[in-house]
Amino acid sequence: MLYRENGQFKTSYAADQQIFPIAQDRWAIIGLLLFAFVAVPLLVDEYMFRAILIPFLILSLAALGVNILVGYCGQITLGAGAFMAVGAYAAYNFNVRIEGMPLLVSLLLGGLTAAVVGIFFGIPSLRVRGLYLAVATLAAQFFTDWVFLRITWFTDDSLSGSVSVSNLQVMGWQINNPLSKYLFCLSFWPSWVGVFWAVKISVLRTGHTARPPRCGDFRHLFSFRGAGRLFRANSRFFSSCGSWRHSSAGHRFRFFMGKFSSGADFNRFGPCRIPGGNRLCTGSWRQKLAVGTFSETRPACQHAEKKMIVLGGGSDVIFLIQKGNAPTGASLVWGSHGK
Amino acid sequence: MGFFLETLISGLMAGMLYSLVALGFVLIFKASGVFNFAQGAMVLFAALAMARFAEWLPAWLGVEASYLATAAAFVVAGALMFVVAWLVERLVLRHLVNQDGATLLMATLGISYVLEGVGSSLFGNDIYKIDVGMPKDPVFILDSIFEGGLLINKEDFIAALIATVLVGLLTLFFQKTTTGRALRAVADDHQAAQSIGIPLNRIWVIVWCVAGVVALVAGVIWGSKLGVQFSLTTVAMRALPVVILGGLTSVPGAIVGGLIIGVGEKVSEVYLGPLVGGGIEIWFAYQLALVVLLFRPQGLFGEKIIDRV
Repeated sequence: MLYRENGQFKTSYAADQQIFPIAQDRWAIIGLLLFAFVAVPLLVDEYMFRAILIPFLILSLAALGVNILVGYCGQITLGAGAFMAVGAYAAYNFNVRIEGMPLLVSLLLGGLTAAVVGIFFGIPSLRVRGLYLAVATLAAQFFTDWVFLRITWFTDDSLSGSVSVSNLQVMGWQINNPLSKYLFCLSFWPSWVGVFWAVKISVLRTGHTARPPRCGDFRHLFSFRGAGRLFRANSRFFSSCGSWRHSSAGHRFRFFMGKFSSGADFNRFGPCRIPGGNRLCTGSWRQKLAVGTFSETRPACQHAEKKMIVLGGGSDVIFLIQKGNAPTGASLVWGSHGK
Repeated sequence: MGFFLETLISGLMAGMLYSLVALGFVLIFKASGVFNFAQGAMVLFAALAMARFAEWLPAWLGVEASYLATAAAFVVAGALMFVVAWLVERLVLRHLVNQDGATLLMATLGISYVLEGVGSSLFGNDIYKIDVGMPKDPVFILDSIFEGGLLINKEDFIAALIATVLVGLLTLFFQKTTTGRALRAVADDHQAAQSIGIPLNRIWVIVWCVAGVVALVAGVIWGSKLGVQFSLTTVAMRALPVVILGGLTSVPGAIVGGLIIGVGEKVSEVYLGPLVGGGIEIWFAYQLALVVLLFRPQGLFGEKIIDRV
């Protein structure tokens, strides 16, 4: 590390529990945000926005959803693409079918819908753990794939299952070129990260109760039946939070990339979240600068995409070996250490 | 009644193939504690290698394509799977000794991407044919009992037969031989097995080789039926609910689970499918597994998970 926490004393609980307790972190984040909001739009050309930066923002948001489930709650999920799809198509339908529905509201409603579906598919997590649960989440994946392909009402009878919305705007601000789409995606970042940090880590009780099982304190928790029940309720709450996060990534993916297919995008999560370290949400998006851009840009040529997937998969293995235990928080730098 | 029996039999035969792939999962899990997500990619990789070598070998050696060449291609593809197993152990597993299950799962997820990418870079992206001389024509049996007889697909029948033999052989290998016992010891505890002198690295190569061979056989059977193409990986993914249904640690569970899923898929597709628009084969197996999990979290035959406080 370049700097340490030494000497930065806190005099109140509020100061101790703030999101960035170290001053250097705060300045770094402010600098990064300034860079992203001001410098990048000045420096970058249209291709860079469309091919790399927008997918990067969207998919890293999705990786954060996985991060909540796997990293914090210890529930391995392979069905991220499913909840992206639910959110995406729900937001689309709210937007298209209800006259005068504002974009932001339809995005929120899409998120809520995905959360409800997330709760439904989260039911097995009450009884099942580990690898069994991982496969159970695949059920969501295959089921939603089928639903959106077969029930054409959801896609407004589009033959390919791919839908898009024209005339996107927020309070008069037209979102019609790559720059505005980039800024729109980016504006979700700080808010989401802030909200989830607050919920997850320290501020709310739910954050506390979701964490122990991840940290290996399962047994202590379950020794109190009430606490066990609380945890389970929370794990459902979190699975809905996670799916909300996926969905918010999902509808942006569809709105801005112009197409969406839940199955194909599922493949991209493995490589992008592992190197980031599952237990720290910053990891998942910082790491994407390194790995995500490889595997998530959409090269025109199919063959090139294959190579990208190899890169993603290979880097996943390499990162695992480097740190040993990714799901319990391996990252080159950012995840907290496991056992 | 005749039609129902036909559906049932074709379901059973498809189920036998699922059992074969599921057995690949169970064996690796029992023997090394790794939930091998790369099994689907291995099926594709092996089938691709087999299809391409059957094409290339006669051309390289300047001989006519024949059954001998196909057999040679099978051997070469098998050898390739050995190399894959060795590389996996050398480059990945060796570095992950004594990590928890989820870590190993993630690692196999990475391996599957690498195998898919490398496979299609080496062998190409098209749909290839595998011709191992399986008879394609259907036959009618039991004409005397049912009107018009029962339609049985000979290819499916032979495939199910091969799968049955292989399942039997593997079960014997893992239950009765010294190597099999060593594998089970490794499954229980990596470190403990190492401390009593079981060569962990060699054991892992063996397990992955066996899984490679299982993948090769499954790939050849499916490849000759559907053509070798990327969707083979998803066919193998359908074996996942089989494992979950049967229980991760149970060999009989994999077999029974495979049969249940095979039959369930076919029967539901035929009788339930038309009501909801068809194509429910894709998810039926998963939903079935999900429902079973709600009542028996450890699967039908799995060991009960007991956490002591």
